[in-house]
Amino acid sequence: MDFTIKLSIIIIAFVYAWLYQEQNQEWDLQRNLLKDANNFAAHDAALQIDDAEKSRGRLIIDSVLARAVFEDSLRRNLGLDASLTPRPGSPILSNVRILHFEILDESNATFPMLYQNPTYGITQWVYGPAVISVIETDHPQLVHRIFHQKPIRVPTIQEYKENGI
Amino acid sequence: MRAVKETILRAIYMPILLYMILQPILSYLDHLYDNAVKSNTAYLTQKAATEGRVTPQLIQEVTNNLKAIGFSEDEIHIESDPVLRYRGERIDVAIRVERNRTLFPFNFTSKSQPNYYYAHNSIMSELLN
Repeated sequence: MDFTIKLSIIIIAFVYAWLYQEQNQEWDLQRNLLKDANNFAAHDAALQIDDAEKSRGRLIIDSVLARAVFEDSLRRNLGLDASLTPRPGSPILSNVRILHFEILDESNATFPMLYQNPTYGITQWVYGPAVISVIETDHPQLVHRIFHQKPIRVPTIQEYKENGI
Repeated sequence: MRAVKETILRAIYMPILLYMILQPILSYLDHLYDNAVKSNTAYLTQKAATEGRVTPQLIQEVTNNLKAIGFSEDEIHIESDPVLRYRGERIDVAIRVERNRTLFPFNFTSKSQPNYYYAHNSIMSELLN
């Protein structure tokens, strides 16, 4: 009887530890997917240079087009629908939220500049036109009744740099 | 009699003990393989953006990366259109690697385990025409 009780306690502890491990592994995977998708989406948005301005010698990112391409790229990379909710088969577990989307170009900044965003904890030297974005999704929760985890939040900056910097 | 009973009990619970030892290891290994496939797909996609397509050299580099962690060459399938894409056109890259590793020490159910690790990424080409 004594042995059975001890073993039961060990099994409960094991199941709890196992679920916690699975949750952390899932967090790791979700965070990597989110970060890569954010990188690709910001990269694609940064390619939307206004051709008319470019012919005048200025690098200006078309903000409307950039935002549309950013969202489209997120949808393609994470398998999301129009409202950024995962479609069946998506590797993401819950909906994705775009918290911040900002364009720095020759219309609103001079380079190099020290970009600081205290809200999302970003500080970085930016050397050319850039797209800055922050997205988040819910933390996977297998043992959510005991721990409430903060959402997974990833920032990214995609910028143009002159060769040699 | 008591000693015999305890020995039998321990023998019955031995598979559970074995499960508790092996399961976290197998689960973590599987996670690492999955992560490696996804990270390599992201790397290949970034590189493809500047080249305009997934070049044979890039395929070889990623294949070598995956071989270095234990996959064999015939298990790795890299899928991408070889046509050159110019700035603003989309490049899709997918890697599928056969998943012939077990996830559980004992499979108590009749459900089959996933057959492959998979990752897909899409990016716009940077290549100037």
